[in-house]
Amino acid sequence: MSVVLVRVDQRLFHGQVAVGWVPGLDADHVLIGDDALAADAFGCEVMTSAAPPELTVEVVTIAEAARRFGVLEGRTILVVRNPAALLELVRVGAQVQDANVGGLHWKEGARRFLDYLFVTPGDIAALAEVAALGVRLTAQDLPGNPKVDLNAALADGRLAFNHLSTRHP
Amino acid sequence: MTPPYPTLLVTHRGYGEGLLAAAEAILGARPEIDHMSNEGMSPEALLGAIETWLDAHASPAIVLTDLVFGSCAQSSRLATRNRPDSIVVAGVSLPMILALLRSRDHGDVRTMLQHLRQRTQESVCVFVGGQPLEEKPS
Repeated sequence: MSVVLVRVDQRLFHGQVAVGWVPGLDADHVLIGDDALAADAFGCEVMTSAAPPELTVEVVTIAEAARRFGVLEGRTILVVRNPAALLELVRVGAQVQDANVGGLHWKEGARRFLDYLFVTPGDIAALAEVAALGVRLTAQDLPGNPKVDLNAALADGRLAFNHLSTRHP
Repeated sequence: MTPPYPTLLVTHRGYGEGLLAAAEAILGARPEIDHMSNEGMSPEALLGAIETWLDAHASPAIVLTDLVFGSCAQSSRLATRNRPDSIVVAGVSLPMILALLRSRDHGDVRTMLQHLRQRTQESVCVFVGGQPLEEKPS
């Protein structure tokens, strides 16, 4: 096995990933592809140093994550911060077939699609591009919760920005 | 009750609120500890909120948070990166909060923190069939 999950999560490595997805997928490695974090030594230390001992957490650039995508060993969860980062990951060569969109919290200009998924027009455009490149996209915050087919939501207009709620926390 | 230093609780969902309510039930008064939840907050928003709180309080200030690898602890650590007198303590529990509120006369903050950690670790006890899993060290 290599990459067992590609996930878009604004919080990158955090409780839901460590306690929900890692045991659920029997993962032993979390690879964070994030250019800004990779350039921030203290931020990397904060993100990686407190990981449970049975787990390796690494931070690399998106380009490096794409380069290693096909040659990783073990069971890796690859996390990127947002849909634009996922699009870049795919564009620079990662052969992503499925991606999980698991956590985009509210920010200025975003609208609610799910309680854990607030998207901007830019997020939606990036997801649409990723889908057009053949990636199957699902929204799911935790392994035990329902999956939502984002390709279908993009296709039938449920994920159109103008149809989304402006309600936010 | 007032902790020895300004204290902020940063937790997942309603955990912190629950801890403060439980402490109030035991103490008879709500602890003078501020609280913020990460619910619905981006990492950047949570970081900003913690930084704002730290700016408004004298050093040393203490941030208590829950999962050491969680987003609350990460944002708390990032908020204190350029504040050498600010402290983050992960693994917050009711025993930890009660120990903090009773912490006095430790001289300096580091000694107080060592005492706090020791008290909290000592509060974890396991009983099997009503009996201690192992004898306490003498």
